[in-house]
Amino acid sequence: MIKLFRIVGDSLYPLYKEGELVIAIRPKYGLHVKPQDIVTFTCKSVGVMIKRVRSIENTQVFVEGTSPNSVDSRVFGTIPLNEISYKILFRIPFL
Amino acid sequence: MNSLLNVFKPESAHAHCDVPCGIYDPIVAQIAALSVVRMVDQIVALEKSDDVHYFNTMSRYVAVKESEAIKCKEEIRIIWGDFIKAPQLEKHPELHTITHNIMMLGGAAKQQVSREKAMALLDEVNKFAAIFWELKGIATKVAKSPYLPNEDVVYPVL
Repeated sequence: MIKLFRIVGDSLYPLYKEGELVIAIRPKYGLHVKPQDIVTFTCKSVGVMIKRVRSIENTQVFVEGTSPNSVDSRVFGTIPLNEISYKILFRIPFL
Repeated sequence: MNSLLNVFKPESAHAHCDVPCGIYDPIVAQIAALSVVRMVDQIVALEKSDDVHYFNTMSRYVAVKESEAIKCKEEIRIIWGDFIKAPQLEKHPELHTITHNIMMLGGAAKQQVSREKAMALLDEVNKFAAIFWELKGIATKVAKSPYLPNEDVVYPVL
């Protein structure tokens, strides 16, 4: 399933800037999550979050932003692999 | 493209930094800078005397000038260090210079009893505030503070 996301926040700058649109697909549709992928997952207090995969060990995914003060696995720990909801395919340019 | 967006409504994906939904507002720094100006005025206006009350009042004015200058620097430093990031600096590269000016003028405000330096501090903090609100997409206006020292302050139009 394909989904459209709008970026909120700067933790993935300069890769993705606030307000940009990205196209994503559910990982189970033949796509495996691997390091450097940009993925989404749900955080209870925030909602859908988007981060980059740094590493995967067993079934735990360590995600991080590109900004040094990004709120990510350095703050809230790893994410279970089965909680990765979408994998970003590409950014829609000029929007 | 708009019709496409209507069909495939995008969901927000949060790429947060710092504590999500952090509260930042330069008004504390602006009030602190105004207080520095006000304390300079009070220090200059205080009639000299050998009375113990003179020394008490003068030392209080100086202490408040000192603490407000420190507060001003701290508030700006927090916004600059936590809220201002690469995207904001891309739009306003002068922010580093303005922030450094505030740090220097805050120090000068503590060292000296100079209205000129205190006003320069307020001017730089107002410049910082104007950029801050522009980055937030909020219009600003300049108005005299409704209390002494009645100097110009950049306020958000909410």
